[in-house]
Amino acid sequence: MTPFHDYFGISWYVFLLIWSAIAIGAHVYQVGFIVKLIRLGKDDDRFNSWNQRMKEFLTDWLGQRKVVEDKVAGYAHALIFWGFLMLVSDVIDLGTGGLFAEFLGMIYLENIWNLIVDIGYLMAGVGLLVALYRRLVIRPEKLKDSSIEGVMILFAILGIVITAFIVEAGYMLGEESHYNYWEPIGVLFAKLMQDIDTSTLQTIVDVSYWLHMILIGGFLIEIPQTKHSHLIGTIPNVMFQDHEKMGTMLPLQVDDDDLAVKTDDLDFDNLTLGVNKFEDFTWRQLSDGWACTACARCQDVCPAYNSGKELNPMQIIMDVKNYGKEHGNLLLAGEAPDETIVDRFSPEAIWACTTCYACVNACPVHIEHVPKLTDTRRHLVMEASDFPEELQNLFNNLERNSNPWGLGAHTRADWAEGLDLKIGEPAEYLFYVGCAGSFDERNKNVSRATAKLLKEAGVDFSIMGEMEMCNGDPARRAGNEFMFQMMAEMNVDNMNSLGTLKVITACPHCFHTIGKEYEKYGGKYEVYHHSQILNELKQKEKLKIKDYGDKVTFHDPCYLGRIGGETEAPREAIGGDLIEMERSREKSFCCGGGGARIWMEEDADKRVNEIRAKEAVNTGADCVAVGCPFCMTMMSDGLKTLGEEQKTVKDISEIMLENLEG
Amino acid sequence: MNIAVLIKMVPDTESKLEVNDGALNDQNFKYMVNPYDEFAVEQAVQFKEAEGGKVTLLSLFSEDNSIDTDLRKMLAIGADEIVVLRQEGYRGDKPLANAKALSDAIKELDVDLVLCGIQGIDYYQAATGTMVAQMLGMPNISGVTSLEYNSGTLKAKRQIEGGLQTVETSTPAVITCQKDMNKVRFPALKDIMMSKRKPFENKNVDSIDSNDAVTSKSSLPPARDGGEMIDGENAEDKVNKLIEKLKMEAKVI
Amino acid sequence: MSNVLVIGETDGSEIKNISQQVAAVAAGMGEVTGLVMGSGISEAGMKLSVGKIIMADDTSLENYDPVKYTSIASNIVKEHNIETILLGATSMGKDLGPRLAAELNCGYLGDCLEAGSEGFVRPNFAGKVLAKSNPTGTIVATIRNNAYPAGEAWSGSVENYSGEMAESTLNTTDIENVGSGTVELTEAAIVVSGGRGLENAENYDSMIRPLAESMGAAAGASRAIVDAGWVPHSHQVGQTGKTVAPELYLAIGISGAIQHLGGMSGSKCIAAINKDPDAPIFKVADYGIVGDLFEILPILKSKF
Repeated sequence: MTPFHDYFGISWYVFLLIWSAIAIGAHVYQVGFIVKLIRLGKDDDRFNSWNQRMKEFLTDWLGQRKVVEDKVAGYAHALIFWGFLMLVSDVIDLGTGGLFAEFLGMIYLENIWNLIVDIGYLMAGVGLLVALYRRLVIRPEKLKDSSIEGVMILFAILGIVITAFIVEAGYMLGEESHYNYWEPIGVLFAKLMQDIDTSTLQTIVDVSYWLHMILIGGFLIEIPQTKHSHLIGTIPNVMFQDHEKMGTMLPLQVDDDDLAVKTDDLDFDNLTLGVNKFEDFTWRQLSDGWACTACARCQDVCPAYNSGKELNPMQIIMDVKNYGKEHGNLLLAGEAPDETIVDRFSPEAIWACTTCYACVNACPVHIEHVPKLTDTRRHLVMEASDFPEELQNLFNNLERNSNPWGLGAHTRADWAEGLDLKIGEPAEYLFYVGCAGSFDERNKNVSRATAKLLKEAGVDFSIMGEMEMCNGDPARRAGNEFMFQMMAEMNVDNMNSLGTLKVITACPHCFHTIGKEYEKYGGKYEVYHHSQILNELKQKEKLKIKDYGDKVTFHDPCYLGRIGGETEAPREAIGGDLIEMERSREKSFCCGGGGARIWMEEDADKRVNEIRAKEAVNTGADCVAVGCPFCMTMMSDGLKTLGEEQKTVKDISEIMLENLEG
Repeated sequence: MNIAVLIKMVPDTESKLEVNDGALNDQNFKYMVNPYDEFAVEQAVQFKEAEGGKVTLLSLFSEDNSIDTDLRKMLAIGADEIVVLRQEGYRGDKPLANAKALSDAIKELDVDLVLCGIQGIDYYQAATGTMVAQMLGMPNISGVTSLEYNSGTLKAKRQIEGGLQTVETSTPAVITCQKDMNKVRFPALKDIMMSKRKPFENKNVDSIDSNDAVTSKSSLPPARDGGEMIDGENAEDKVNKLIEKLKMEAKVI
Repeated sequence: MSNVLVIGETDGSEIKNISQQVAAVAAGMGEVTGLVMGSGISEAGMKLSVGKIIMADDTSLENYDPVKYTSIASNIVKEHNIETILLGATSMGKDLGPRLAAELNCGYLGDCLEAGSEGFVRPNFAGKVLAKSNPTGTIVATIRNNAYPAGEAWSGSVENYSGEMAESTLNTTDIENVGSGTVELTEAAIVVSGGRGLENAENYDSMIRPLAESMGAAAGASRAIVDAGWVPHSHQVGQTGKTVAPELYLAIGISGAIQHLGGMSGSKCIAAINKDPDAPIFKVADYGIVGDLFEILPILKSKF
């Protein structure tokens, strides 16, 4: 029996047509509104590398590559997602009163189609049950405060699945039962229902059919309004994911060759500095809002959120969407709402970010959280001049003495005294020491250890001495893009004047900025973190290093591991009894010092470094090995606060020098 | 209210200080705006924002124009124009001569108020501001930590031993500003760019043969290579030695 | 030998100690005349240790007024053919000195550490350079407090000033005593800072604050103990706190992380007390004592 008959003397498809018109109309209208909002954003040309984009789309979207990293929720989602892809054509069949299946029958595809749809419903059903079990029974911490909406929607979708099986079963029952084994679950349902009398059965089938159609229509209306917008939003998000190297930032203005326009030639009259208005974002930054599924993986890994600060990266993405929704009509009319994007994010949240990129790395649908925060910082610094007071010190110091502490620029090479190094001469490698390695007593020791090891191995290298400047990263991550660019331009000039091709640095921020960002400012170099060069020398036995005796754990610096892509060289360089922390390699947890945070005040009860220091202590290691001067400071401070001063914090190079044989 | 702010360009605080044959080597100095004068600029701009008028920055320096970029930043804070008096053989340690050149230039401006920092962080004479006041026949209040203006009357708080003195005067007057008198704003990039379009006038002035006391010999305090660890038989002995050193060698207590 | 004028100051009832120090310096330089200006100062002014004192006593001179004081002093200088004018480097001396020099069209040397017939020595660059002058003509100089011992209080011959006095628009409306114990951190000549080595908040209050007070210093703190809640953030010296550049920075129980050094490296002289001989603070300190601060501080305190 089928539900395709007259109701109250009117044919079933009249009702269906009316309902479809409402549901589809509402859906299209709302999606259109969102598309118009997203198109308010600035250009961002990502319509290139189509082959790569297709591949990424197949693995990341269709293949759910990153979704399944979370085993329970991820696979549940994948089952529902794949299930729905398989079953979605069933709605055409049900909407046409079985004409679609008939058509498929003519081309001998009906049976296989029936099987696919049935398995699809089954997969979705299993996924939904797992998801409901997770929400109602397991109840992970991050879902404790989530609204009932999620559960309701899961039940509604489960309703769609069950009613589909009932309607399927109805087809097989009636005056004479004929079980279609191409629809195995349908058969199962039919067998359960076979003893029901015909008229009751007809009612059940009718109710199920209309419930099914109402739920699907309702779902269509609901999709653009809630986090289910990700059903559509993830398509452009995954397809047009960022192809720049992780952690790189956009220059103020680029020319036709995608190089930064020189500071002297910037067109300030037509330049928006950073983001304060909805339409200051690029379209792709805006589309993130509707791609977010609120899975909260970004929140789980965010050092700011986990240390109790105002920032929740997921909320930032929600804010973009909600701001657009709430002020949509004004925005589309070209008017400016009283509330700005900065107001919505809140300055406290904007300044809490360490730019560690853990959120971006964790997001299954390629949402770009960090640039939203650094772009609003640009606005706050360069347009509004409204930023934490401590940063004014930082900017003045960088400007006057080209180091964050404002110490005399002429003392930059003092650490090298007595080491007999080449200073400001051409050499195979340039050892770019960086500010901490040049001015901070603790980190000067790292510079000395690195230089001694390089000399020991006979590497031809030079330092820049007083010619060296800060690479500009602290200014940049703090929003002062203009200052960064001026410093980058000067540094590139100086480095090029030495004929620099290869660079070694012990600072991951120098490593990242010089290696990945300077290209746009005219500086193309091969940049190595000192652990990479030192490890290579160790492997080639140019440095004979015995294994480290102490129990040691390595804290991956964000800009070396997750962002820099190097997690093995430091470990091999250290050697010996290495114990891993709970979170390591690409999943390492920030020390709290990045994103210029080390120059800002941090509430004593909300310290990121203490969380990380605790993880290090939990390993039972005697020594925390680091590969970044800021991690050095933050981890040492963290251990001190925990009263674990007896544990040492050492740079990779220091450990190697200690264990140098002969 | 029209305001003149006197700005001294001083060697950066972290400059390398070298003495050769009794003379300070000033060849490698990089110059910056004297930090005390920044408070004066900020105060002037705040008055201008409240009262209207014009803020003219007046600086005296040699022909060396490497200072221009840093000086221009004061325009970004909100001052209207800069006049740099270019003087051959200018020296920062001749307050009498410098006050003469500056006060002559102020006479040509029509100002109600002259502001400057209490002292330069180079020679620490704390002299030029008050000298300018005397030369202009204006009253002055020095070392001011807060300043209010109300229809022709200035009310200033200045630091004195153990307290604060509140002094009032009518304009015109000269006020020298103490550290932390206000919070100097950080100019937005747009303001920095706009400041490039503001007037920046260079004006040659004659060298002045003054009665300033000249430095006959500069010297560095006794060098203490990398610091000195004080040893002693006991704590008492160490403390005594430390106090002796602080008094006699470093001359800081 | 020349004619010297010492401009003395009273605090109402007593001649200021610094004026006696200046008088003692002047005694070695020639024929000394004293000038004391104020209101109701006859008792106190007489104690200035010079042979001849001119007293300008008038109700309009109660509070220092640069216009009036300059006019009186310059009249006396001209009348008595004075070539050297000495003042204490006080808030008045440092204001009156240059104003007077401008009126007399003569040289000025401020905040001298040494003064005498052999010349004057004064600090440049926050004391990082010392400059010596041997002025030939008329000179006005101010002398730093405690650079010289004070002269004995005694009264010389007293003459009342009867000359002219300029009109002034300046009017002191209030004097607010803020007490000597609360020196502003950023303006203090001496900063005594404490760190984690103090072990608890009570020790900061009972050891650092009293020592600072008796040295006329401001009390500072490292971030670690501000975080620990021992002292308010307003005391924090360092990258994210206040930047200070005193003549003397006394770091007690502070290890000296770079974030702290960024806020005090401009100090002229740094002295450190710490139990750990490897503490980075010793790398930047001019003087260091390795030892137990609980033993050292009480002794140090007893010296001031």
